[in-house]
Amino acid sequence: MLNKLREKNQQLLRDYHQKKDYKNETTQKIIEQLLKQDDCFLKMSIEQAFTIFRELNCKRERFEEIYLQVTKPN
Amino acid sequence: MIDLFKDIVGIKAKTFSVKINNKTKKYSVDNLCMFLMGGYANYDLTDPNLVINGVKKDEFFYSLKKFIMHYNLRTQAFFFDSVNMFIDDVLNDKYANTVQYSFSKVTKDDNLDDVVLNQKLIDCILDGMPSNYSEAQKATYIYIKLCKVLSYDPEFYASNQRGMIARSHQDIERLANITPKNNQIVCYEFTQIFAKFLNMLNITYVVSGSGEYGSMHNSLVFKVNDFIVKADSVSSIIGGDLFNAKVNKNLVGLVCKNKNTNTKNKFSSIINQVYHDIVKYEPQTEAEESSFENFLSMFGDWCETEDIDISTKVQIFKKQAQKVELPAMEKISYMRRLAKVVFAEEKLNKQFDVCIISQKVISGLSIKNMPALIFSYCEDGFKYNEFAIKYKLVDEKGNITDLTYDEINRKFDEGKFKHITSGVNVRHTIPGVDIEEDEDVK
Repeated sequence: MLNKLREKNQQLLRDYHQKKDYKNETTQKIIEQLLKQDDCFLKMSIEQAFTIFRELNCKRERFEEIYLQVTKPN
Repeated sequence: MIDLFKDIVGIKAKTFSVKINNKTKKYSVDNLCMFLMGGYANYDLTDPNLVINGVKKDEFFYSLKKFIMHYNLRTQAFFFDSVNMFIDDVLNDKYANTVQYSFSKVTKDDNLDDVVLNQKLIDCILDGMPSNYSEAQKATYIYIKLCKVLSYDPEFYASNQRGMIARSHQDIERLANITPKNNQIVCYEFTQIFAKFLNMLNITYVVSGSGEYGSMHNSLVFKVNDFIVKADSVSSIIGGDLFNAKVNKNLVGLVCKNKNTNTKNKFSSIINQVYHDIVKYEPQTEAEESSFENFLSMFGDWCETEDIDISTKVQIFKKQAQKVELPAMEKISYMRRLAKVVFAEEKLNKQFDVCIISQKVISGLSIKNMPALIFSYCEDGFKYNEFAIKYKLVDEKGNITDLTYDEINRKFDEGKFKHITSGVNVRHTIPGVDIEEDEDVK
């Protein structure tokens, strides 16, 4: 799941870059740095995790399911 | 100038002898003083293959350290500024790796002959170890695999390391029955098991801690190649490597004791490589950890954070606690960690807290102590309305039940709940509940 989020972020990063939407591109760049660590979601609050899901355009009704996946021990 | 220096610091001898690897090396005192007083500038001290006065750099600097300490030059030479700075660098192994010369030449382990390992455990631990590994890589591989396979005994922890369960762990013959399935151990058992593997690899080590087997916490230090490494999988019961390795978190108990930065970095690379080989996971460096914190703080400033109500959080926590499969002790560690991120906001606002306790549980026909978590939550904040605090008990299986203030007090009075005082640095407390400790528990 973490890899899917990373891919999604890369896709958005490319899109925003092409559209010259620098504000959103910056957001995705910060998220890119955060997602580098395999246990990143066990190092941030659930509120911050849900904000990342929102910025990655995940469906709200899937937030909980995604959170359970990404905080599961490897 | 050299004569003046020698007069001031009180050196009369012409030569200085040092024993290295059972051989005595003799140095001219004038040469050593000359080197200290600026002669070092003629050498490239960063060159790992450097030879000084016909001696390998590491050996030369080891001798120089002995010379400095013998004549107490750090204090005596305080008015020679540049010399003093260089002396500090030498003592801190800035230019050379000298610790290996002072490490014991022989293994010191009173229990080695009594330790027998189960073949199933040996096979499981050594399974998949690349044959081209160096000795240092092999030792690291075995340490990580042991941390992944073995688990801290939750009953021992919850019993404050006393009673019947403690006595059972004091029997060294028990180690022969430790297998990947029968895998519950305590700190000194881990040390002896790892020590036996090091012995198989002909690696020299020293078991720390004195006294009878099983009477106190112990760990070991081993020397492999040029590295001096401390191995303590239970540096913390809750946050130690028996937990970290299972969730692929950075190790904290395998520590390179060399002062030299290059040597430390080399050992970090070995840990990273071996960890990656085992789990295809890259541990984070300290720099990466601190940049993560920076990015997280930047993210908080940059984006409007989501709000999540407490009941949703409880549901999420409940689901994960019941779903995750880990051995009991590691599950407690994991749930405590998860609670800290799920209820981070509330913890910050002093509305939430988590405390580890010991509770008596029925197991078959017997009763045993097991660790559990008590969650406390108060919407108004503990400080402002301690009568409105809600409590939940989370057992080692992830089951969650409601508790009242009266029930908690009653269970503590009846001895069904106890605080865990052994092996913890900070006294655990439950907001709103003031329980008197057993006087004899340390």
